[in-house]
Amino acid sequence: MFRYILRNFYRGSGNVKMYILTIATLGAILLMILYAPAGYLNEILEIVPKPDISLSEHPPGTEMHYGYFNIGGSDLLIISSKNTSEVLRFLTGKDVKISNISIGCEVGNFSVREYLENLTGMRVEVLECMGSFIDHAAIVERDAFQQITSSCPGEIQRIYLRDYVSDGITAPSAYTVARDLLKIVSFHQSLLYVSSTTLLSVICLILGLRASNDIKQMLTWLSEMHIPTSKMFFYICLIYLGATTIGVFAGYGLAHLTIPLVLIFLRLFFKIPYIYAGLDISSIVIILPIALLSFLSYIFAISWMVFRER
Amino acid sequence: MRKEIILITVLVLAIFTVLSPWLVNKAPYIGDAWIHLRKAEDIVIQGRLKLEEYNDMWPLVNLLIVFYSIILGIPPLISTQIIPFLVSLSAINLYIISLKVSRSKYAAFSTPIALIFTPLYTFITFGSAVMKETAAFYLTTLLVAYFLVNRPNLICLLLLSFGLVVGHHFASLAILMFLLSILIEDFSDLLNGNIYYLRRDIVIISIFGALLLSWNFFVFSKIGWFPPISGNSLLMMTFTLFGIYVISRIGRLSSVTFQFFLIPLTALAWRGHLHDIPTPVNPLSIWEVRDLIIFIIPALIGLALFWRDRIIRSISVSTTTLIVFSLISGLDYNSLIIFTKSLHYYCIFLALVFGLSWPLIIKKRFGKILFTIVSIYLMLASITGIGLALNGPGAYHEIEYEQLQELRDKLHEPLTMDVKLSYLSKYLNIEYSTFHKLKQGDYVLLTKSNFMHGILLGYVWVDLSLYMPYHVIFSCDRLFDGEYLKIFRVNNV
Repeated sequence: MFRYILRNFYRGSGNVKMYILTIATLGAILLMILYAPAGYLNEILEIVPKPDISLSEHPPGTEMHYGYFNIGGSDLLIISSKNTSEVLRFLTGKDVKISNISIGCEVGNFSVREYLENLTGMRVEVLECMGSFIDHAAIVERDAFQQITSSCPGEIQRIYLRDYVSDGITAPSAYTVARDLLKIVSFHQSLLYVSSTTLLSVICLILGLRASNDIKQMLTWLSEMHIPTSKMFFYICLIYLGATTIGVFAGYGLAHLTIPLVLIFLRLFFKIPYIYAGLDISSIVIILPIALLSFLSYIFAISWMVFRER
Repeated sequence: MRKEIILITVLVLAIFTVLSPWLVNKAPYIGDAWIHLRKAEDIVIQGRLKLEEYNDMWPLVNLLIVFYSIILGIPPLISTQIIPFLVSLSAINLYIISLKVSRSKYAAFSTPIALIFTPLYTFITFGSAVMKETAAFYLTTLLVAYFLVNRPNLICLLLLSFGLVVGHHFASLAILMFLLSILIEDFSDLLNGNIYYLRRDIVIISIFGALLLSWNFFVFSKIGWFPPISGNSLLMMTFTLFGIYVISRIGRLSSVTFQFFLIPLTALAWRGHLHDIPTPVNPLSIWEVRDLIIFIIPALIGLALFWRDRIIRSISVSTTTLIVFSLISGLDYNSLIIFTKSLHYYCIFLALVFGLSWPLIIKKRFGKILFTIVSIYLMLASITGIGLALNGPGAYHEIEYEQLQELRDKLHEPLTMDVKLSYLSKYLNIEYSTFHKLKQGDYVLLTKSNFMHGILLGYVWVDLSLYMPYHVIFSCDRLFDGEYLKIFRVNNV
C-alpha cells in the first residue's frame, strides 16, 4: 500500500520530485548567501599569518637587544634581554624556561658552543627545535651579552616587543582586516539568515498551498481505494519526511559544488584570489529550518484536506 | 556498405591520431611508458607477474604489452603501441552508444569524430600514452556500451569488469560513479512503476563492486596501502554527485546552463589558466577559443535534446562529478592530477552530446553541408593539438632513446636530470639523481624539451635557468652534444 501511495505522489504534477528539488534549490541558495563570504574570510584567516607581536623602537614593551656577531668564523644571531623567557614567548609563542646562554638546535656547531662557554664561563644549553629562526640563533642573558659584545665584532640593535592586543596603534594587517570583516559579515550573516529563512519559508508555504489541488486529486483517488484515513495520512507524512531529508542532503550537495565554482569564476573574471571555501558538513543544519517549515506547510495543506473530508 | 566504409575511415583516423607520436617520433609517448616497458620485459624474462610496487597494482597494461609481444613475436618496445591502438577502438564503442541512443547514423559517426578531434586534444595526449588508465580506457567505454544490451551475458560482464578493475583504479572509480548514477535513475524509475532495469543493474553493480573490492583488497594486502582517494574525498564526491544529479533533474535549462559554464572552465584549467601549478602548456589562443565555440554549441544542443535519456544523463552526471570534484577540491597539485584524469572521461560525455546534436541539425536546411563542414573543421582544428603533443614536453624521440642507450656503457658518474629523462634512464639502468642545486663537477643530462619547456620536477615544470642560468651553461664542459641529448660537466656555479 505504501508503494502505491508513494508512486502516486511521485508521479503527480504537484509531486514529491518537485518538492525535493524545491528544498534542494532553496537550501543551496541559502547556504550560498550565508556561507560563501564567511567561508571565504575564514579561509583567509587560516592562511594569513597572525601577528601576535608588534615591534617598536620605543617603549613600552619588553626590551630586546640583538645583533650578528662573528663567532667561530661564522656570523651568529644573538638575542638578549633582561627577560629572555618573555622574549622567546613573543618570538615563538612557546613558554620555554631557558638558562643564561642557550643556542638553537641548528647551531649545533661544537666550536660555537665551546667558544661561548670559554668566553662567558657559563654552561651553554641547546634548545629543542622550534621550527623558527631561533633554531639558528643564540639567546643570552644581559650579563653574558655584554661579555660577548665586548670581545666579538658586531653591531647591536635595540627593539621593544609588545603584545599585539595591547598595541592600539598598529597599522591594520591583512589578518586584522579579514578578522574585522568576518565580524561584520558574521553580524550581517545573522540578519541575512533570519531574512532569507523567512523569505524562503514563505516561498515554501506558497508552493505547499499551491500544490494542494494536485494533492487533493491524489487524496480523492486514494480515498476511492478505501484506505483508512489515519494509515494514509501516516504514509503521506512518511513520504514527505523522507523527501525532506533527501532535499536537505541534495541542497547541501548543490551548495557544496556551486560555492567553490563561483569562487573560481570570481578569480577568473575579477582577479579575486581563490581560497577554497568548502562547506563543512555541519552547515547542513542551516537548511533544516526551511526544510522543516516546508514540510509543515505541505503537511498542513494535506491534513486540512484529509480531515475536512471526514 | 557506405556505412561500413565511413566507420572504417573513422577508425583509421582514430588509429593514426593516437599512433602519431609513435609514427613521427618513433618512441613511446609519456614517461610512464618506460616503466611499463621495463615491467613487461621483466615478465617476459622471468615468466611470471610480480606484485611488488605501485606500478604492479593494476597490471593490465604490463600484461597487454607482454601478451601482444609474445603472440605477434614483436619486441615489447613496439608492442607498447597496442595500448594506443586499443584506445582507438573506443571509437567503435562510442559509435555503438550514439547509434543506440539516437538511432541516427549522423550522430553515430560524428560522436567518434568528436572524441578523436576534440578541441581539448585529450584523445591524442591521453590516448597516445602508454599508461595504466589508457589501457583501461577501451574497457571503460565498452562497459558503458554494454549497458545498452538488454540481457548482458554474465561471463562477458565478469571478464569486462575484471579487466577494468585490474586496469586502473581511477577508471574503476569513473565506472563506479556511472553505475551509481544509473542506480539513482533506476530508483527514480522504480517510483514511476518501471522496474525493468533495476534488477539487471543491481546484478551488474554487485559484480563490479565485488571485483573492485576484492582486487584492491588483494593488492593492498600484497603490496601495501596506497590511498588512491581519502574517505573524506569520497564523501565529498558523493555530495558532488548528489548536487549534479539535482542540477540534471531540475530541467533542460539548468543542465545546459551548468555545462555552458563548466566546459570553458575545464578548457581554461586544462591549458594551465586555473591551477596554481606551473605547467608548460601554451596559453589558449583566440583561434582555439573559436574552435571550442564551434564544438560547444552543438554539444549543448545535443545535451538539451537528450538530457532525459537515462544513459546520457548517467554519463553526464558521473563524468561531470569527477571533473567538478577535481576543481572544487582545490587548485593545487593533487587536484591537477585528478582533473587531468577526469578530463578524459568528461570528453567521452562531450563527444556523445556533440554527436547527438546532429539528428536535429541535419533535418534543417543545409544541415548535411554543415555536418560535413564541422566534421572537417574539427579535424583541421585538432592539428594544433597534434602538433602540441608531438613536440610537447611529454614526447620522447627515438634519438633520445638510441643515444642514451649508446652512452650507457660510457657513463661512470651519476647524471643529474629531470623527471622526464629519469624515466628513460631508469629503464636503461643509468644511475641518476634528480635536479638539485648544482655543484662544481656535477654531470647534467639535458634534452631538447628541457630547453624548450623547462625541467620537470614531479608534476611541476620550472624554467631551466632556475638551475642552470646561461652563464653556468656557457661555462660548462660539453661532454656530449647531440641533436637532442646534451651532457654537461658543471664548472662554475
